[in-house]
Amino acid sequence: MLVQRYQQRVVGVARALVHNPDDAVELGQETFIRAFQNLKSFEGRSSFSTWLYRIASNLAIDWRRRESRYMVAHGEEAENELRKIPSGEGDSFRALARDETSRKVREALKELTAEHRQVILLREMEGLSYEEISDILSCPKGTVMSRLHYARSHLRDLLKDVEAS
Amino acid sequence: MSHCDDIAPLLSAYSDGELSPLETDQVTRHLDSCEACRDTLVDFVLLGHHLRSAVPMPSLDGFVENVMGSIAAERRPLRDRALNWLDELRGRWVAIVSLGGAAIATAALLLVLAEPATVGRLASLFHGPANPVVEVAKQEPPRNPVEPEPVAVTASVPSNSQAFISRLEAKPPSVATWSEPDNKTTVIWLGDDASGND
Repeated sequence: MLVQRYQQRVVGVARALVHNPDDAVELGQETFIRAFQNLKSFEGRSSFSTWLYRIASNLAIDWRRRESRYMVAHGEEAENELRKIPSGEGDSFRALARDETSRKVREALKELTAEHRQVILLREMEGLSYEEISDILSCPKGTVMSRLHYARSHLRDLLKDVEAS
Repeated sequence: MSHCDDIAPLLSAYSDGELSPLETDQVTRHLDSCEACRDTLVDFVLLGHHLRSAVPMPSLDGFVENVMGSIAAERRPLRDRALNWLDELRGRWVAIVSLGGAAIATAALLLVLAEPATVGRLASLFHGPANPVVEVAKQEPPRNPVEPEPVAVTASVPSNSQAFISRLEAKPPSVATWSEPDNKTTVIWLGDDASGND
């Protein structure tokens, strides 16, 4: 079934843009409903998945605009939203270390601008191609490439001690 | 041999497999001889791993059911949709017939107003001619050459008076037949000559 097949990616795209996991799930569901309603308008010029992700990204952008929930890079709201993301489970030393690493990664993510965070989440979390990301964010493929390079370099600098551990 | 400054911007895309074959070959040859760029590449790969651990996927329990429920709510049964379509069609036909009738009535009214003579013609269709019509009956051959030749005249009056003269002979023997359908009365009038008093 299409919903089952694409749900994770669609929610991932929404999450990369709105960050709040609950909002992302809600937007993901709305994406499939919209896709069903507008199935006749799908002309096959892009792949079905790209069409679906574009709907998700448009909804997420509208959501941010409408609800004023756009997470600013350095604001308190961003911090609160990122805190909502569940960390790993377990009480072993290994789990604690993993939690600590995850916390640092989430802190580092907050240091990125929205544009850089979007591209790296779409790439690393959802595994989207540059072409798909450029489609979703409506920017040239070269821009995706340079934003990703900057985002990775910046995160690498911020997480230098984590990488070493 | 390429310089690190030229290769560094390509490493991210290299790790994603998004470079052209030519660029890929160029970076690969550089990595063979540059430990710093190799470290950077490993860091980029590890970074992806850390990100996936730090930002887990939100729970999708009930996701499919919610979506399918919403879609099913929108998608009513075929029978309901067919009935709805018929209702709409019926509504359209009533509107079309009403508009058509109104248009015809308006056209008729305009025609009558534009041509007053039409009123008379229309009236005659239903009630007979507006003005009395006098017809001269065909004369029969004289039965008696001595007797004066009769002239038969029939006339009618406007039917709205309901009464009419069905026969009138001015010359002797004078005869007139007067009918009043309203009263179911017919009057036959004979002149002195015709009464046989002479």
